[in-house]
Amino acid sequence: MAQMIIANRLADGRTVFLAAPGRWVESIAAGCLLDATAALDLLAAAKGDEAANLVVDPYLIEVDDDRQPLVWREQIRADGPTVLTGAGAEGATVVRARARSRAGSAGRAGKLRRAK
Amino acid sequence: MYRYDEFDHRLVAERIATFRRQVQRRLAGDLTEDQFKPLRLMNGLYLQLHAYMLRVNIPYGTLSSRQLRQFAHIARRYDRGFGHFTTRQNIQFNWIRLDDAPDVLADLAAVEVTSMQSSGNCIRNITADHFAGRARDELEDPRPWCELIRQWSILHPEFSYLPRKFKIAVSAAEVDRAAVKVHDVGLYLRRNAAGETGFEVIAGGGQGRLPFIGHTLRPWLPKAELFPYLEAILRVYNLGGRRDNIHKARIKIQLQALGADEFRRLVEDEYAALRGDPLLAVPDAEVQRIAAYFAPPAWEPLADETADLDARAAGDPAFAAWRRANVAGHRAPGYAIVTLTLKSPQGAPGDMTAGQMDAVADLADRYSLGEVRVSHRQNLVFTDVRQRDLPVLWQALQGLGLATPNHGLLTDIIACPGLDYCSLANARSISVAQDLQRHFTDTAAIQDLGELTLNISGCMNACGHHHVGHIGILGVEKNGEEFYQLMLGGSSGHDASLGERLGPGIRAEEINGAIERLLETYRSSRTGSERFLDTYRRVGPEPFKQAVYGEGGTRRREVA
Repeated sequence: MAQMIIANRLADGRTVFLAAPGRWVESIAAGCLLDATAALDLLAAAKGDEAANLVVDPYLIEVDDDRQPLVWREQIRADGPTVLTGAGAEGATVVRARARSRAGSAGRAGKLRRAK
Repeated sequence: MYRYDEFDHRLVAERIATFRRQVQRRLAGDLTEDQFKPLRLMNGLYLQLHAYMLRVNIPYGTLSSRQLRQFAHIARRYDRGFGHFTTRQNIQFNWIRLDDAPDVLADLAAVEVTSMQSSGNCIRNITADHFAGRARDELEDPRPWCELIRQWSILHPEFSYLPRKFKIAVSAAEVDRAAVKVHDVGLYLRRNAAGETGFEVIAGGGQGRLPFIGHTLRPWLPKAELFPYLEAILRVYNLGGRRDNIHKARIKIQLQALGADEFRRLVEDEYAALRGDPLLAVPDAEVQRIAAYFAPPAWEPLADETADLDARAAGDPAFAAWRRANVAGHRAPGYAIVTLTLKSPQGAPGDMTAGQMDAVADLADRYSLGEVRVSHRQNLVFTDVRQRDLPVLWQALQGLGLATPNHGLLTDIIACPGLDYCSLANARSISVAQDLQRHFTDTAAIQDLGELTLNISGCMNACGHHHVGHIGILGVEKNGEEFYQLMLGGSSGHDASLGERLGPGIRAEEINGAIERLLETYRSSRTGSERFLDTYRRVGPEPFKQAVYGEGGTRRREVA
């Protein structure tokens, strides 16, 4: 199972993904996809970035071939809230109704299983 | 309302200067996250799923239009254009940058607002009845005492590192609108047989994973004895509360372990030693000085305008529905209390955009003497509206999406941020609330159901008050899926009770239908003006279980 490394960026707290040692990106699509061996090496590098005050609390997550996190919590971290108020549109309330229920879609159900 | 004095200003300014240096040291790498985390939490700054979140206290829920405008400024300049009002009369900003946080605190301090003690194991924001000082059913305004408690608790040297957080709520009304009995300490202002006002002191209430209704330690305590008595409770808790297990560290667990009688004995012993301590005696003159900040505003001499409003309502059902649900009686003739529910089908419970905040601040200046309240049900309140202004205010609120006629009704839903924002959550809450609000839209049907609280939490920590909702919904996670447990029979009023779990958890898409069936069961079982809660208490859970799970009571599901 492919893995990626997720963290919060220190200065603004935003969810970020490791692209390369010392380089963190907000888009999961630009993050580095890792096999089991590389995962451990790069997690060590990520811990180094934590010590260097780039990020907070880096850890490995499992993703599918489309870089979708298998765990719902991590998917929300990657995509942002499933509901949004006031995003961009001053004075208006914008609700982004995305995939309302993960469990409601049989095709996706398998992806909700918590990573071991 | 209360205005900072020189000590308040200095204390907050010094704290911000200290925090600014701490942030600089963290960004420079001189502090590790482990060292920094307790420092940022002392200033209300959390690290959540997507960003830092800043929690800001609104003491006893009282806010000026100027302060609300500053929230709009902060939402716009430092956040994503909105804020979230919480069940603790706080506002949370969800997208604050760490390197901006000291500037945000400075902007808040400019309007006499602080985030100090909005997190951490200390005495948190002092909460109160949001109708305080205006309600008809009130003995007296409890807010001067809330303010005195706030001043006593801020940077209290003995109680800055308690075993766990500590929440105090105060009410002086016949109807408990402040959930007093589910706080670590709850205070009701009451009269004794001699007609003197004092406090009923309740301790050991709380929600979370182990919920309890508080126990009355003293049915009546003289006002002058409040601080020795509070100090005694906090000291007993601080010395004896558990520090080895975060889940058993609240005062409610200590009180349960000792038993209420033994806990009371310890408090009374400590109180006996503290009585007469000059540091804990608040001189009458100081009580009066603080009370003067909360003196009633100069209301115009008006008469109630019931006939005019009745005539208007007769010709306008939408206005009538709003007036029925969202307008409450005021102690001054010709005035009304108006609730702006932040519960439109399009919004998230408690969320407000910067544009709405600015507009509401303007309306507060025009129609409510510049004052706004925040309720623990995540709504805003205009405290001093002339009854004659109700129709025009209603139209203005409609334009802002803030005139949903559902105060205290089915769709006036409490919901925590849940898994959309919160790092503690197991399941989403906001989306569940929105689904319900989109599903139940028939105003007449909703109003026909009468008083009904529906509260949703995304985890056992119960920020969404699911234990004390007439209907509670608790989000849980099982094998990577969101499930929701239904609880019935909770109340946060004087008749406080904890909801009972109805049965196995259900999926999000099953909730609307389940609630429909619960409501149908209520409609077919109620007698007279019985509330949902009263019917549940009378008939018990069985008919409701059958309605949701079918014959036999429980339909087996994956979630136990």
